[in-house]
Amino acid sequence: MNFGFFIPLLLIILLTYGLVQVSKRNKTRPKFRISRKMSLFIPIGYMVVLVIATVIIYVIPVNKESEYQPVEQSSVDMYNDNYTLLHEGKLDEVNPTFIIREWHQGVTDQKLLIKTQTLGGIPVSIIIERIPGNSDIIDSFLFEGKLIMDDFEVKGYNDDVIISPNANEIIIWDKGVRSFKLAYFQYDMIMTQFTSGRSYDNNHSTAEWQPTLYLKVPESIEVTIDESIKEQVIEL
Amino acid sequence: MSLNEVDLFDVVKKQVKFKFFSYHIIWISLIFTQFFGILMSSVVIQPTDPTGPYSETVITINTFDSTFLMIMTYVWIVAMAVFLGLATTKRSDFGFVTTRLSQFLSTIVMLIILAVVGAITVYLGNSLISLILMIFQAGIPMSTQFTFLAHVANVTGVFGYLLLYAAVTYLAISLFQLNRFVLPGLLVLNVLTINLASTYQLNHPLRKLTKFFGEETSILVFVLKVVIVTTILFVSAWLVTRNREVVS
Repeated sequence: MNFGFFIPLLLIILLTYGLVQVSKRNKTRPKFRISRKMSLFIPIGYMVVLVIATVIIYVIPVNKESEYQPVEQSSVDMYNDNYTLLHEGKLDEVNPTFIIREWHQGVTDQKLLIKTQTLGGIPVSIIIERIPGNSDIIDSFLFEGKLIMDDFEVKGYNDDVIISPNANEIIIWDKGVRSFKLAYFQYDMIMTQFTSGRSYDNNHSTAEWQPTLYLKVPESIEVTIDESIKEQVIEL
Repeated sequence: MSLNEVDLFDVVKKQVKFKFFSYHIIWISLIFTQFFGILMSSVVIQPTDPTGPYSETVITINTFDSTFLMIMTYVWIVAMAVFLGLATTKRSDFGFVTTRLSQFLSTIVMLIILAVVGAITVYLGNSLISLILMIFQAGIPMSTQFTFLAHVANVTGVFGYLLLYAAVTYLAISLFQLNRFVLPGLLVLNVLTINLASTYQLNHPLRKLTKFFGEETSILVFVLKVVIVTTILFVSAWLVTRNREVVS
């Protein structure tokens, strides 16, 4: 929001007030008085508050538990490369650090149903790779999702995803709509003037990669997918 | 005429000291205006539309800035330049052994001190805004991308603008005291030039002046411009006031 238009308005009000005071200068007396002691303590107190605030801001360590952590572009690029590999079906080439959960599920009757408990979509993408053989074991891997807001990564982005392997089913749902709020503080426009506009940029960017559930399913197993989530499933 | 020769420097020093310690209204008003600016800066946000690539995620990014704090400090220095320039205030200066020159110089030095104090408190006020936001806003990352020199440039830049506002206001008040019709005359002239500029599609002088300072990205050149322009403004104010009676 641009508050520049306030400046002339306030200046005119102040000037008018000043001129009115000049015109009746001998008739006015101050309406309230502050004692000498108070008028000394108030500015000193104000300066102390400002200095303490500055010390706190610059001395406190970066909070490792904060929901938002700074992230390097190189690590985002690396993640993106791995995400692409995964979606090309090259699970073996994916960096294992991005696999946040792994399990092996046995099914009976060679049948698997993938469904959700809630209405609407699911918080993950699903990739199904068919492997030769007639085993009744399904290998499941959950590849982490990421949410990047400008230069910050949201911690706990994957925490809302619930996947429940259960007998011949995989049930997926989330804890509700994920909501993230990020607030920035910018220095004033003077900082912008001498830093080529770096401090005053309202063009924020967000990038989101949903977690991916990668399933290695033997060809002999019949997979049924709930209608409501079919669009989120890729069968390789 | 005094029988003893009094050193001009000593008189100016005494007057500056007197103004610094006696005009409490200057410091009290600084706190009130800046505190208002800090509070406004802490609540006024520039929201972006909540978005999300997928319907499952709602993202909201709010931006806070310290522009309001700076604007309030500009207002403060303008008000203080009016205050120091007013005849009512000037009278108390002549309780000392005073000449028009020492009175003028002490006011200029005081305005420079006010600009310095204003710039430093604006800079420190940024930290207070950040602290308030850290306490009351979840998820506010602190910007650490600026170098030490960028911070120095920021303080210097704010000081430069404060000094410019002070110098312009002081000249305006000096002109007003010379003749009460000067200020309304300047306002009329300003409106006329705006009309003429829009009619003939010319750049208004004020816009040129804004660009002259506002589009300068080198802090050294900016400081040079400020020094030259404020010197011209203060010298003009001196030329306007030097022949006036001691008590207006």
